[in-house]
Amino acid sequence: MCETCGCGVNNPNGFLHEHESEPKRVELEEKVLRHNDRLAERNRGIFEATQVLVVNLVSSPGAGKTTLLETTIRALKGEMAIGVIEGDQQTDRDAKRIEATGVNVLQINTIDACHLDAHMIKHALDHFSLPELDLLFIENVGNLICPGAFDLGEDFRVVVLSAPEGEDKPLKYPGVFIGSHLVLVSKVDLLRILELEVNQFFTNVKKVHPHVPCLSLSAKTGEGMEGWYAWLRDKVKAKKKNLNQPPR
Amino acid sequence: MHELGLMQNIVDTVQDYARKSNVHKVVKVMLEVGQVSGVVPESLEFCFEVCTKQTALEGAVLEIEKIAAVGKCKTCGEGFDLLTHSFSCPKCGGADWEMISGRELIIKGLEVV
Repeated sequence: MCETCGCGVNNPNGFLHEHESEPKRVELEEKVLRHNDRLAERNRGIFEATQVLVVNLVSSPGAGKTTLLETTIRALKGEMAIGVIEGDQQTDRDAKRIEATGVNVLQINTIDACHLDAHMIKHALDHFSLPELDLLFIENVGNLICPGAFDLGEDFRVVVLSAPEGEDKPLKYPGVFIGSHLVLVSKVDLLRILELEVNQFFTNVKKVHPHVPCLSLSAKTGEGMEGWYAWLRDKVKAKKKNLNQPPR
Repeated sequence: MHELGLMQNIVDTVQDYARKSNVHKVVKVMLEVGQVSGVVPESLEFCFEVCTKQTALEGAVLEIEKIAAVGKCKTCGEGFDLLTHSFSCPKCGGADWEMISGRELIIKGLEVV
């Protein structure tokens, strides 16, 4: 008789035989990005404690995030203290452009990665004296897909959609728009040449994210920039009073 | 584009579990991947074999359940597939909806021996 299970099988190796155990099913229900989410929560706590408004700018490459930042910083740096984290796969070109505006900037080179994650941001924060800042911009890696999946602990995720990309992008790449808190349609000075109307962009954004606020602007001509500045002023003020709704 | 990194996360999580629970062999990993999670299931499959080499997961089967992007119409309450119906309710034509599913990226469970 088998010593392990007591069955009656006899085999040449004496009384023992192999036991083929049935696979056991285990429920895990673990988020794949749990480490990122945990670090993002930690970042959020730091931003909460230091009352810095953190805005994560996401777009395709070339949508004009850096130009938008340069213009915005020059307009607002007299009334609030601004810092910038720049994310790119390679080079410090963007950081140099931001540096020229006179604010504190840190460049992260992600090398192979297609997005910034909460861990990179956590380390980047060492570069800043957060209690002295009112507003921290994170310019994400230019990519309309991947940054949408990674919470950085930011207060607001702002998607920049430039007019030349076409009005159908929200329908083609819904994920990043669905996770956004504000959409900026940029380079609207080009709409006439493109024979497009800004409402075509807004309509498609609202299709995939019915209640997201949308603004249109051109950093080049200044059109619509006041609306964006007003939005930032309002959110910075609310952050100081802890009035901003948690985004998720 | 970041599927390799994600798969490494998945393998690490499962290895953690295996170590803590004294499991020596994982034979199946079950994932849920939402249709608007920004992740391509086929790429995950491609990375699975590479990432599981010389781990407790080597040779395991990867089972991916794709989760449809479903919205619930705020006007009539109908649940519908957002992508098939171009984000508007097929019953009443409403364009205001609440997202029910589609952004998942979850390790649902395992089969271990």
